Amino acid sequence: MADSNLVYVAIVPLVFLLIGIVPSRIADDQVSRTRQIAIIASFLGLFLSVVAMAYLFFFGFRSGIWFLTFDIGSVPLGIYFDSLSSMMLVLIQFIGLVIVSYSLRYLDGEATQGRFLRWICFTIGSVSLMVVSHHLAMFAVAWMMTSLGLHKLLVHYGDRRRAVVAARKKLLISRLGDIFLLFAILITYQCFGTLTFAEIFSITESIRQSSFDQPMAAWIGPLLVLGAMTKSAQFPFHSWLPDTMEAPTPVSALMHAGIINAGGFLIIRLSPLVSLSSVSLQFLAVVGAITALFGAAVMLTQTSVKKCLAYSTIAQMGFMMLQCGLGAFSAALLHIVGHSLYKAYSFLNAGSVIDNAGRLQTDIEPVKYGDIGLIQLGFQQVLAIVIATTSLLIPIYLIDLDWSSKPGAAILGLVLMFAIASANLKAMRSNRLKPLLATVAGSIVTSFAYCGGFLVMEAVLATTRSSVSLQLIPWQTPLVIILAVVFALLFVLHSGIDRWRQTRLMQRLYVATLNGFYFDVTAQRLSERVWPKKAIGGSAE
Amino acid sequence: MQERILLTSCPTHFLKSKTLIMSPAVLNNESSICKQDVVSGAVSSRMRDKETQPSKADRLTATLTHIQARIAPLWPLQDFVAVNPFVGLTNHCFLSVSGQLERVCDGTMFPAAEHFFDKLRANEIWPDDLEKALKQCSQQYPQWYAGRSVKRLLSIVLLAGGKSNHKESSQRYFTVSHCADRRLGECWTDRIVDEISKVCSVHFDEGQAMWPSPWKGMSLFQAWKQIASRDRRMEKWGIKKFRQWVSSLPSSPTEAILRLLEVVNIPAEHVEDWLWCQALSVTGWASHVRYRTMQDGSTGEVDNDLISLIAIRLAYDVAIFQEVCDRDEWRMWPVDHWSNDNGTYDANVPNDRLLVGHWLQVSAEMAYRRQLISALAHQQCLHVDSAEAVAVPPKRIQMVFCIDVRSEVIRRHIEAVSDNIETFGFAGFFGVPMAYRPTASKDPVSQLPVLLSPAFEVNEGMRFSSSATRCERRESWIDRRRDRRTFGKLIKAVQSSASSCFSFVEAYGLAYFSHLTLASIGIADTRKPGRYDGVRGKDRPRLGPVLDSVAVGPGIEVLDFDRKVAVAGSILRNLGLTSGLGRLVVLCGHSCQTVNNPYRAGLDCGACGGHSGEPNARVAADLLNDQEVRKSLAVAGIDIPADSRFIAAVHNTTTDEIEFFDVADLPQSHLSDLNELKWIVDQAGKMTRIERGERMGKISGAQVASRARFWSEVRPEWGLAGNAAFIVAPRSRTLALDIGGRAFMHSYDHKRDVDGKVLELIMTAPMIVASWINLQYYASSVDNSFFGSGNKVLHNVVGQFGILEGNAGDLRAGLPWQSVHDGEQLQHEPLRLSVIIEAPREAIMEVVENHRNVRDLVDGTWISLTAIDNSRVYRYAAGGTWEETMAL
Repeated sequence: MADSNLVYVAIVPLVFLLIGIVPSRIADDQVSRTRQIAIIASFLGLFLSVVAMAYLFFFGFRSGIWFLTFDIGSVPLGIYFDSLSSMMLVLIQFIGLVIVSYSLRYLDGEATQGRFLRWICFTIGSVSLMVVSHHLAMFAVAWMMTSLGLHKLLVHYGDRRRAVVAARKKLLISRLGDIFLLFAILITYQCFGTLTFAEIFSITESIRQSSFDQPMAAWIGPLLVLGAMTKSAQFPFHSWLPDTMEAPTPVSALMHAGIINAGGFLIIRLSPLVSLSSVSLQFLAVVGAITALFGAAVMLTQTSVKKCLAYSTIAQMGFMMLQCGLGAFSAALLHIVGHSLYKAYSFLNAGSVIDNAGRLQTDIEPVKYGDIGLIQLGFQQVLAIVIATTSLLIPIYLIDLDWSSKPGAAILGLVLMFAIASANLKAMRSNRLKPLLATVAGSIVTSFAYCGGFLVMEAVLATTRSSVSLQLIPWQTPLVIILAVVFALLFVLHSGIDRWRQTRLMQRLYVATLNGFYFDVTAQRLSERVWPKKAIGGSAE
Repeated sequence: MQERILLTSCPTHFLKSKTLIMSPAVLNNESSICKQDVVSGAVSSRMRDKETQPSKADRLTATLTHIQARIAPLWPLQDFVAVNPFVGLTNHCFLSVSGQLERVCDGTMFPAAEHFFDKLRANEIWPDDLEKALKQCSQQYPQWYAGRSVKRLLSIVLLAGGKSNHKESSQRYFTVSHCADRRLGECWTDRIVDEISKVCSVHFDEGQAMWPSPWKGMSLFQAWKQIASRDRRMEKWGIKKFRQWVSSLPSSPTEAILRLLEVVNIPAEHVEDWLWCQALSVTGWASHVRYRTMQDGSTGEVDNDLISLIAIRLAYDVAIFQEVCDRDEWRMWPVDHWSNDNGTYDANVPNDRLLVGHWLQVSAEMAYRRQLISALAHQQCLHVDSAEAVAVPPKRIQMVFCIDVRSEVIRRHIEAVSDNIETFGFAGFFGVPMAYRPTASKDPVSQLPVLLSPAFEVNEGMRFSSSATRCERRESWIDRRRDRRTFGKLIKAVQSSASSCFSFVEAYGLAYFSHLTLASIGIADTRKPGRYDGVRGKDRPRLGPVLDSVAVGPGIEVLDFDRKVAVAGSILRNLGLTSGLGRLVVLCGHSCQTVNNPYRAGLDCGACGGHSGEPNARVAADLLNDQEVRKSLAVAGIDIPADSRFIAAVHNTTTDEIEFFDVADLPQSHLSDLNELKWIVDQAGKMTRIERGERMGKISGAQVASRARFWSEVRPEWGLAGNAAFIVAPRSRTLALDIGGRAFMHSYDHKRDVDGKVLELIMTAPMIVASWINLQYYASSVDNSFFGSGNKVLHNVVGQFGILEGNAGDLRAGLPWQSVHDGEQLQHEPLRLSVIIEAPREAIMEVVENHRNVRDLVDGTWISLTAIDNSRVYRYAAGGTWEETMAL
C-alpha cells in the first residue's frame, strides 16, 4: 500500500548520494564546507530513519508494508519499506553517523579529507538505497554502486601498492558476484515477468499453494546464494577481505559493519525466491559452517589486531549464512545487527588494544590444562554443561518459547549451550570463586539476552513478506554429517591448541593456518592475469 | 665481564644502579675491549669447529658486530620512548653519516631545499646567517667547503630545480630483491618484508594470537627455519624448492651468512655495507630485535637474534638470486653498478647536494640560536646577576617540574600569575631510580630513563598512617582487584574463542550501541584503565607507592634507610636546593591523557621510561618529608627548614591541569598555601590552554582540553614537537621569556656547584636524553617514510608491542606523521639541539673531555654547545676550542 506519510524516507539515501556525486576536487578544496554538510546529512538521515521506524512501529506493524513508487519515464523507482528495511536503515544510518563523526577528527589535516568524506557518503547512500529499494533492478544498481564506493575508499591512498592490489582483488570478486546477481535477475524476469518485490512476493506466496512449472526457477536460488557469498566474503570468495587494511580505519569499520551484511540482507530479503530451491539453502548452510570454521581457525593465529578482526568477521558472516541456510532468518538478522555494532566499535577502538591488555594483567595464572586430573576435568565439563543447559532452559520456560517450531533452533541452541559451557569451564580453571559465580550469573543473563534479541527480531520479520516460514528442512544425511564434523572441529580447536601444540601435525597445520591456507595468493595470481605487471627493462637504475 | 667495564665509565651518582642495560660505549662499539671479547669468543668456538676458514668467519663476526651497533633499538609500545635513530653512528660526524646512510638506503637526513627557501622568504633566515654558516662549515670541513661561495652553493640547488630531489639515487648498495623488482616490475621486496614480518610477529608476539607459535622458545633463525621449511608461500610465487633449500641451510646464522655470501660473490670490501643495506631493508624489525637482544643480554653473543634477522633477509635475497636472476646476465648483480663507476666515485666525499643541505641546515640553526641567545642576553639587563645579589629570600612556594618542553609554558604562566612562586626544572624521575609494582600485576614498571636500570622496587598499596589498618584492608581490595581482572580476562576469552564468539555477538552485540554512542560524544574513562580496580571511591586518593614495603621476591631490593637518605640528599644537591627551601615545595611530574592511542607512552614522561611521573614524585615527597631522613640530612649538611613541606603533583600535559596527591598528609598550617597554589595553577592552566589553542589551529582552551577525551583524536597534544634547545641555567636567565615551549630547561647554578659534579650529571644524563628526543623528532620530520612511522590512520598494532602501517610490511619505528605535521605545515621544525649552559668553559670542557659520548655528540655536530661564561657567549667549535659569538 502506498502511503505518502513515509515519503521522507526517500530523502535519506538521496541526501547522501547528492554529496557523493560532488567532484573530489571541489570536496577537497571546500573541505570545511564538506565536513559540515556530511555531519548534518548524517544526523538528518538518522533522525528520519528513526522517525520512520517509530511510525511503522506505532501504526504499521499490523498492516506491514509501505511502499511508494513513481516512474520517471519507464525507469521504475520506489521505496519498499517494511520492518526489515527500517531496521537495516536505522542500523546503517547509525553506523554512518558514528563513522562520519569519527572521520572528522581522525582525518583532520589530510589534504584528501574532502574526497574521503565524499565517498563515505556515497557508500552510505548506496547501502541505504539498497535496503529500501523496491525493484530488483534498482537493488542491483545500488549493489554495484556500493561496490564502486568501497573501491574508491580502498584506493584512497592510491600510491600505496598494496592498497591497489587489494582493491583489484576485490574488484574481480565483486564483478563475479555482480554476474551471478544479474543472471539471477534475468531468470527471475523470465519466470515471473516482473521485478518488483511486492509482485514477486505475491507470486511466490501463491506458488506455495500450487506448483510452479518453470524449471528455470530452480536456478534463481543458487545464483542468489553465490552472489551473496561474494559480497559477504564467504569461503572461497573471502580472500579480498583480510587485505583491506591499507585504507583508513573508518573504511574498515564501515565495510565490516555496514557493507558486508549485504549478502545476508540479500538472502533474508529475497528468501521467498531463494527457498524455491531447497538445495541452495542447504548449500548455504554448509558453506556458512565451513567459513565459520575457517575464519575462526585463522583468526587464532593472527598477530595484528586488524587482521584478527578481519578473520573474525569472516567467521561471523559464515555463522550468519549458516543461520540463513537453516532457515533461522530472525537469528540471522539478530546476528547482522549485533555484529555490525560490535565490529564497528572494535575497529574504531583498535588503538586501545595495548591499554586493554595491560589493564587485564594479574599476578595469578589460571590452572593449566595438563595439571587438571582427568576425573576432575570430567566433573568440570559435566558441571559446565549442566549450568549451560539450566541457564538455557530458564528463559525458555519463563517466556514459554516454543523452540521446536523454529527452524534451526536445535542447532543454534546447541551452539549457545556449548558457548556458555566453555565460558563456565574457563571460569572454573581460573580457580577463583567470585568470577565463577559471576560467570554463572552471566550465563543466565546471556540466555535471556539471546532469547530477548531473538524475539525482537522475530517480531520484526513476522510482519514482512520476506520471511518465509520454511518447513523444517528434511534432514539429509550429508548435511547433518558435514555440520556435525564442522562443529566438532570448532569446539575442540582450543583444546587442540593447548594440549597438542607441539605435535608435528599441529605444527604443519599452524603454518598453513597462519597463511590463511594460501587463498590470497591464488586470488592475487588471478588479478595479475587481468592487470599484468610492467617490466622496466634496461639498466638497474 | 662486559658489565664491569661499563660500570666504571658511568657517573658516580648512578653507581647505585645495579647494572647498566647499555652504555653508549656498547652502542658505538668504540670500546676496543668490547670488540675483542666478542671476537676472541667467536674465534675460540670457530677453532673447535672448523679449520677451513677461521679468518673469514671471524672477519664476518666483526663485521656483524659493527652492523649491530649501528642499529638503534625500538622499545615496545607500552614503554615507548624517543630513541636517537643514529645512536651507534654518533662516533662519526653528522655530515659523513648522512653520506653513509644515503649509500645504503633511501633515507635522507636533510630537509628539502624548498623548506629553507620558505624560511628565507619569511625572513627567518637572514643572508647574514648564510654567510656565517658557510664560514663555520669551511672551518669545520675545509676539504669540502674550501673555495665555495654562497652564490655558487645556491646555484647548485637552483639548477637542480630547487625541488625535493633528495630521493635521487646516491644509493650505491641495493638488495637483490630491489634490483629484481626494477628489472622485472615485480614486488619481491614487499613479499620478502611481509614474510619476515610474519615470522617475527609470531615469534615475538606478546599475547595477541590465541594460537601461539610452537617455536617461540628457539632462536629467531631456528624458528624461521622451522616455519619457512613448512611455508608454501614462496613456492607459490615461483621460487622452486624453497622449503627444501631452507632446511639445508646450517643452523647457525653466522655460518649461513658465510655460505650465502659465497653464492652472491660480493667482494670483501663491500660486504659490510651490503649487509648493512640488507639490515636496513627491514629496519623496523631490526630495531625491535636489537632492543630484545639488549634486554636479554645477548648483544655480544655470536648467534643472537639480530644476526639471525640479517641471515634471514640474506637467505630470501639469495633465493631470489638463484631462482630469478638469469645466471649469465646477472651474475654481477648487485655488484655491477659500483664497479661501473670508472673510479669517479669516492665513498668518503659527500656529494654536492649533501654539502648544500648541510650548509642550509647549519644556517637555519644559526638563525634560531641568534634569536634565542639575543633574547637570553636581554635578560641580563632586566634581572639581577646572581653574583652581586644580596641573598634573595626564597619564595614561599616552589614548584619543581620536569625538564620537558611542555613544562616551559605552564611554568611561565604560573610565575606570571603570582609573585609568591618560583619554578625549577629537574629530571622528571626526580632522581628516584625505582621500579614500581602496581598491586596484583605481573611485572614491575621501570620508572626511570631507559638507559638505566632500577636500583630498587616500590610496591603500590594503600597509604594509611597506621600499618594495622593497612594490613587488614590490603587483603580485601587486592582480592577484589584480582577477581575483577580475572573476570575481565574471561570476558575477553569469550569474545575471541572460536566456540563462544558467535553467541557472544548475538547476545551482547546490541549493547555496543551504547559503547559507540558514548565514545562518539567523548564520554570515556580516560584515566589509566584498570588503575582503580577493586578500590572503593573514598579510598582512591590513598592508592599509591608505599615505602616500607616488603620485598616481593629474591634479588629484589627495597628502600632501606641509608638508601633513603642517599636518594633524598642527591635530589636536593642536584637540584641546587640544599638551602633556600620555601614553605611548600611541589614535586610535579607529568603524564598525558588520551584515548585509543597506541602512542600514549610516547606522550608520557620519557624520563620515567614512558610512564607517568606520579610514583616518582610521591616517593620523593615521602622521602623528603620523613623526619628521620631530615635528621640524617642535617647531619650531612643539608638543612631542611622545619616548616618546609614537600608535596607531589602531576601535570596533565594534554589538559594542563595539575593534580595534587596526598593532600590529607599536609598539616593544617600549610592548607592555606595549598589553596592558594591550587588557585594559581588553575589560572595558569587556563592561560596555557589558550596559548596552546593558538598552535592547534586557533581553537579555544576548552577545545584543547576536550582533545583528551575523543577516541578519534589523532593529535591530542603536540607533545615534544618543536623542541630545539636545552638550557642549563638558573631560572633568572629565562624568567618571563616566551620560548614557545621549545626548550628543555634544567635549573643549574654554577656557583653552588663547586666541584662540577652536578654539571657532569646534567651533561651525561638529561642532555643525552634530550638529544635522543631531538634527533628522533628531527629524523621523523625530515623523512617520515623512512625514519618515522607513517600515517596514523593506517596503523595496525601487531603483537601488542609494535605498529604496522597497513596490512603488512615492515614494523614501523619513530613518530607518526601526525605528531610532527598539522596538515598544513610542519609543527616540528627540524633543528638539532642547541645546548646553552651557563657555566665556566673549563668546567664544561672537563665534562666533554672525560666522557666519550658527550664528546662525540658535540664534535660530530649532533648537538651544538654554547656557553654563557661571565656575561660572554661562546660557541663550541669542533676540536675543543671556543669562539666568542656575542658580548652581552
